[in-house]
Parts: sequence; structure tokens; C-alpha cells
Amino acid sequence: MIPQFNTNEKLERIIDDWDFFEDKVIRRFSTFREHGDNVYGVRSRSISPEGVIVDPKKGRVNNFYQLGPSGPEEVLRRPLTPFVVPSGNPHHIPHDFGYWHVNDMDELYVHIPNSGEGQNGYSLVCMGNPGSGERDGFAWYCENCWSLLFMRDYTTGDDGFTSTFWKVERAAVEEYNSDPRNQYCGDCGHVNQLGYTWNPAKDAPEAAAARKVW
Amino acid sequence: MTENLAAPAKRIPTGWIQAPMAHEGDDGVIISRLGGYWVWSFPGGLENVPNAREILDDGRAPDVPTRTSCHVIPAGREFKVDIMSNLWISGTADHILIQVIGDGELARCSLISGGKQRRNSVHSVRGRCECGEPIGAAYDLDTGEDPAAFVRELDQVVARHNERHGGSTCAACGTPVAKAWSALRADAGAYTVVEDGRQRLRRTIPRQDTPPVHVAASELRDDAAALVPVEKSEVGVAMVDGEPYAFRPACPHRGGPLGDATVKNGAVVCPWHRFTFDLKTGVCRENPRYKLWRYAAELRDGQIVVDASKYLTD
Repeated sequence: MIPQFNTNEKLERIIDDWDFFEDKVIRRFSTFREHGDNVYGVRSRSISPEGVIVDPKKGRVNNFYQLGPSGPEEVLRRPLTPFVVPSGNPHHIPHDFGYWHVNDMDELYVHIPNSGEGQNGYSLVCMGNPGSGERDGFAWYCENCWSLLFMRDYTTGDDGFTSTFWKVERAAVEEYNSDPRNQYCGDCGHVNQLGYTWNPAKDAPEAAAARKVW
Repeated sequence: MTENLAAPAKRIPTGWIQAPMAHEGDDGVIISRLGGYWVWSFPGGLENVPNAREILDDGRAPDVPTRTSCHVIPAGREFKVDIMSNLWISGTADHILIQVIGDGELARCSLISGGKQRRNSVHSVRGRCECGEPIGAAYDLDTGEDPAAFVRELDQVVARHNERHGGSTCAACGTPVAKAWSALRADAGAYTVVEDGRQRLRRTIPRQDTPPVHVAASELRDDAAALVPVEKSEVGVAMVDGEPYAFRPACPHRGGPLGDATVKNGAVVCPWHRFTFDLKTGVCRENPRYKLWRYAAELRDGQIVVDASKYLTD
């Protein structure tokens, strides 16, 4: 079954029997891909038994924050312990994506540590496949007083995930970065960092600088 | 790289959003609810790596390989994991089987089901002989969102199956029917979830014949709203510059709780996404397409009188 898949076949015909941790399959899920009830992202990453996660292009990305009523709250990510970001909760991973993501669907994360010297572990993200009217949001909050600065959202359930999501994400980041008034907090006067997208390959110089900071 | 989140982040209580893939010292399989997902946690240890099988569309029932792997069992497909139960299970949700094998010592296995909200509502369970022949009918367990209810119903199915088929033989191969069993149990503490916004949006619609309610103005703080029960619903009340305002205590964006939210600069601030709603107009300052539902409220002799039967439409 699983070891006998043939990559010349259409993905949809054989995906049910794929092992998401097979090298050839991971490439198909290197961003995110819809399948059945869920949208999946699978990455091969260096993950220590203590939970230090290193992305080869972004560096250390193991800190994970949710925005609670009184400010940011850190979720301790432990390997082999699945955890969920409940729907609607803004969350941010420093150096990974430079905004607070707001998802109408729950997001479930599983981290499998390295299996040995030179052997990467796996990071699995799975989120409910959104239905009609269900959205993803890209938000920026003042890092001093946590007032909402700027937000754009996208009706993923109606407009589809695979092709358009990343364009909308990029447009939201570019719009936020394009006007200094968006980074200025009218409530406390703090000037906030620029945003950056999930994909570092297309970082503008100022976005690349922001990625190093937050 | 450095972290630069200005306010120190605090660690959140994770009991209801995390569950281990495996547990020690117990041979049962524990189901925890994490939001819209269930995590089925298996006993740790290499000796407990389960033998899992599923029935493919062509009727074959091959083993899932015992190695580190992640495998999706689509909704509707029957599967069996032999340290979980000897009954075959299928669900209305996809199931994700994750196995971790390393160095001959580390063995962790977990089954994750769900995805879309409330998709764990039905599991179908049936007995099968080793030859594949069904033993009796399939039972649909209408278990909603509660793993404990699922485990209770499954135990009842096991008892019923044994009562009906104990001592009988397989019609296809003549083998004695094995006694059914289940090692599933629910984590008593892990499936308490906070109310989601959609529930709050549904719950906070007062009836049109709701009588006026009175709240002492002296009980209100300047910087926060107050949640006031109104028959089977509730309203939010706040004071700005000596004027009372009443509103539906659910954010029109995603249903965030506004009942005891902060009031700042004449606006109530949703604690979820920080949208601010001007109490005089109800309009969201960040995104005017969102508007707060407001009710008639007036100040009489130190009492705020809220008439939740009247919506303000201007």
C-alpha cells in the first residue's frame, strides 16, 4: 500500500494511501494542500527532543504566540504533543510569518523530533478545510499596547486555498508595509515593525530586515 | 535571530489545547478533545506499536507499515487498530494515523480525527471475522462532540455484540466469533472547551418580548463593560461620559465576548481581535462593515434601564 505509490499517477488518485512523511510526498505539501476534511502542510525540519525547531531558511522558529485578552501568550511547543490553535485566535511565529494569522478553522500542530544524527524530524500542520463564508485573516497589532493596527481577510472557503491564498497574503503584507501610518499606533504612539510574508524567497530588503527582528 | 515582542509573553494553560501522542503506565487508548479535533493517545513503548489495518475500496485490508509514518484514513473507510479494539471503526471525519519509531526504543503512536468543526459526530462500528466477513450489523454511534459519550456508547456496542454473537461461528469460514473488546477511554479533563464565537452569536439574541432590566449605574466601571443577564440571554452595558449604552455582547466579527470587554475612548474593545466599536454609533472603527447591535438604554434615578426588545437602527 504505502510504499508502492507511483508518483506518475495523478495526485488525487493515490493521495489517500500516501505517507505524508515520505520525501517525495512532503514536497507536495511544502506549502499547504487541501485534502478531504483538512488542509495540510508537512515540512522536514531539524527538531530537537527539547522542541527547538530550525528552518533552514528562516532560522529558529520554535517560539509560538497566541494573542489573548491581555496580550501575547506563548504556547510551549513540545515534540510528540499535538496542540491546537482554536479558531479565531490570532497567532504568530517570529521569523516565520510577519503578521498575526487569524483562522476561522482550528489549526493542529504535531512535531516529530529528529530520529538521529543528521536525520530531520517532521512538522505537520493541519487545519480544517474551510466551508462557505469561512475566512483567514492577516492582522497587525501594536506590540506595545496590542491595539489592532491593520487587518485584511480572505474568504478562503469560497475563493479556495491553493492558488489564491498566498497572493492575498502578499497583498496584505505589501499594503500594510506601504503606508507608515499603518505601523503607527494611534492609541499609544508606538511605531511598529514592518510585516513579511511566509515565503522568505520574495522578501523585499525591508521585509527581510523585519523578519530578523520579530 | 532575536525575539522582540515588547510585552513579556506569559505561558498559557495548555491543558485544553494539548494532548500527548502517547502516555505511560496505562494500556488503554485515551481520547482527548482539542477544539474540533480528537487526539487518540496510545500507550508508549515499542511493544505497544499497534498493528493497524484499513479496508480499501477494493476490499483488501493491508497492514499499515510499522515505521515512522503519517497516513490519512479517509472518512467512511473502515479501519482497525489492534490495541484499541477488535472492532472495525469508520467515521464521518478523516483520521490521521501518526507512528514514530526510533532506535528500537522510542515508539509513539497517535490517531487524530476531525478537521471541520463538529465533524466527529458519527462513528460507525462493526465486528468482522479475520477472514473479512462482517459479523452482525454496523452500529452508528451518534456521539456529538464528546469523547466520553463515544466511549460509553462503544462499550454498550461491545456488550451488545457479545450478547448477540457470543458462541456463534463465522458464516463464511466457520471460525468461532471472537469476543469483542475495547480499550478506549476518554480524558476526563481535556475536552472542556471555551465557548466558540458562533455559539455566542446564537445565544445573545434576546426575545422580542424581553422585559426591561435595571442595572445600578454605580456598579459600572468607566473602563469596562458589564454583562447583564436578560431572561435566557444577556446584554452588555457600558457608560461613556455619563450616558448609558447597551449592546449585544458578541462581536459581529467572529463572536468575541464583549460583555466584560474594555471600554476605551468611547468604544468597546473586543478582546479577541481588538476591533473597537463606537458605542454611540455601533460602527467598527477599523472596519465599518461590522456594526454592533445596540439596544435602547436610559438613565433613571441612578438606574440604567435597558430595553433589549428594541434595537437601535440608526
